Amino acid sequence: MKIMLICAGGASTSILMKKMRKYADEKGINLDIIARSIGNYDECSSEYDIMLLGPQVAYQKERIETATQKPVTVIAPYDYAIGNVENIFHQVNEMLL
Amino acid sequence: MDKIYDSNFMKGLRNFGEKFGSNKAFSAISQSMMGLMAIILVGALFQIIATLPTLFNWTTTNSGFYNFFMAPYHSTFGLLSVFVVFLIAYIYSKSLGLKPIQNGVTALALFLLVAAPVQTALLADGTTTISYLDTSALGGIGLFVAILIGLISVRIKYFCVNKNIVIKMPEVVPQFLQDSFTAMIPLAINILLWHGINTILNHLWSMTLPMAINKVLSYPLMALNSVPGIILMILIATLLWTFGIHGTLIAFVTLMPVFMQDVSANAAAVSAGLEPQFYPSLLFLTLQCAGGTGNSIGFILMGLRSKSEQIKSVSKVALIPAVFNINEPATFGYPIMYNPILAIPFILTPIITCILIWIGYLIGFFKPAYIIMMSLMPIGVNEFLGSMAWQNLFIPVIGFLVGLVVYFPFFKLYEKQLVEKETAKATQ
Repeated sequence: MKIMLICAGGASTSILMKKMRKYADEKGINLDIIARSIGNYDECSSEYDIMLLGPQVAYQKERIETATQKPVTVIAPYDYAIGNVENIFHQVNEMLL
Repeated sequence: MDKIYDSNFMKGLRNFGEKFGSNKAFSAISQSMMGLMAIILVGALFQIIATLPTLFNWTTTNSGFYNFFMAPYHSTFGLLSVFVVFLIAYIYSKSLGLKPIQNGVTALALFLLVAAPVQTALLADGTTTISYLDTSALGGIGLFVAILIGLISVRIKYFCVNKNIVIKMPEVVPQFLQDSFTAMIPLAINILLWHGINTILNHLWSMTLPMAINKVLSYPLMALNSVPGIILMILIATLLWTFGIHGTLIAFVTLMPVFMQDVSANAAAVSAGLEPQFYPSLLFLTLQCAGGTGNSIGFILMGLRSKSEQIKSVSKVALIPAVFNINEPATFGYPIMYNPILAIPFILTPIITCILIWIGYLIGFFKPAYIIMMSLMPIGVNEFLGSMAWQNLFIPVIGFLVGLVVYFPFFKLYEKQLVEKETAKATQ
């Protein structure tokens, strides 16, 4: 599963990225994940299956959808805050099914 | 109390934030600035190395050491507008479905034409002539022109392509040739426009376009770059965050050209051996000096021992990010967004902090920044490295203390609400 996380500066999503990696390792999920900012997401977006947005940049959803032509979804604010990785994977699976 | 978020004013503000933030031109500006963050930081680091020994009078600003380490700064931040004009035109034309590289290069050429036209000069020896570009308007001073040319030149191209004001070639002509011909009429219009305006300004008032634009913009910018103006921007930033929108980014992109010009003016002053000046734009970042936007680290520390499970667990995950001035876990976790009780201190703390720190500058305690620091750094690092003054380490201390006092009553109120909910749930 190839996921790109996008937030304003790429900082808060990189915290989440580490948590998701750890979770995927534990559960044996094959995960390729990267954290990008709204400034540089389009450099390699074509290599990823799905774009997950931090809630603070939810207003960029439409623009990123048209730019990347990939499924884009906004992470639920509370899951994003406390890093509830299980819920986030659930959200991703629902999108990709 | 929850109803205030449904009021027309709040709805309008939210719409404004979303529209503004996803506007293509605005996104092009913010994306290009984000893309340049790394190169600006590298320039700033060299500037710090160059400046450090001069603080202790070990070297002077015309020593070989100083000049060696300032060279990378001059080629990064000192040429900022060159990168900005290319990137804005590149990103903007990409989002409009035009050829990005072609438009990026066009905008760069137009910018150089008005901001640093090729000139020739006879050297003092009387025989050698050199041709040169004057770089003085390619850094902070040219930033507004760079933004305008980046956007308008692409807009002209877009208009021509849409209205079919282009040279058409027969079908058999290869695509790359067709592209060059398509570019010709818009390019001619652009050159005539920018070069024309620049020449007229030159002849009538002996001004260049960058100078003229800065002069015209100086009146509205004076209003913006004032203490009330900055407080208003801080207010907009925090209000938008209470809807979960990244308001700091939106407000900062608006303010960023002014901020960069001010800091680069200070850098030039320090290089010339003068004192850096205070500009109100320097106050904007006080809104995120102690735990990210909202200066909520005091709240997080109180929350670690909260009786409410929700506050306690969010505080645990929010603490480390807050040390790095990342506020999202707190904002989305407690949550502060769509939560009128916590929105009040979240909005008040940065404003009170800003006013206190302004007073600190007025009495001469804090030192104005002259090194551009825009990256996310742990608390206090930006304040210190931007000014190289230990006094500025007290900026986050003030932010922290103000936060502690202002958040406290709201923390108690919210905690009480949550504890009631949590016990009600537990007894069910």
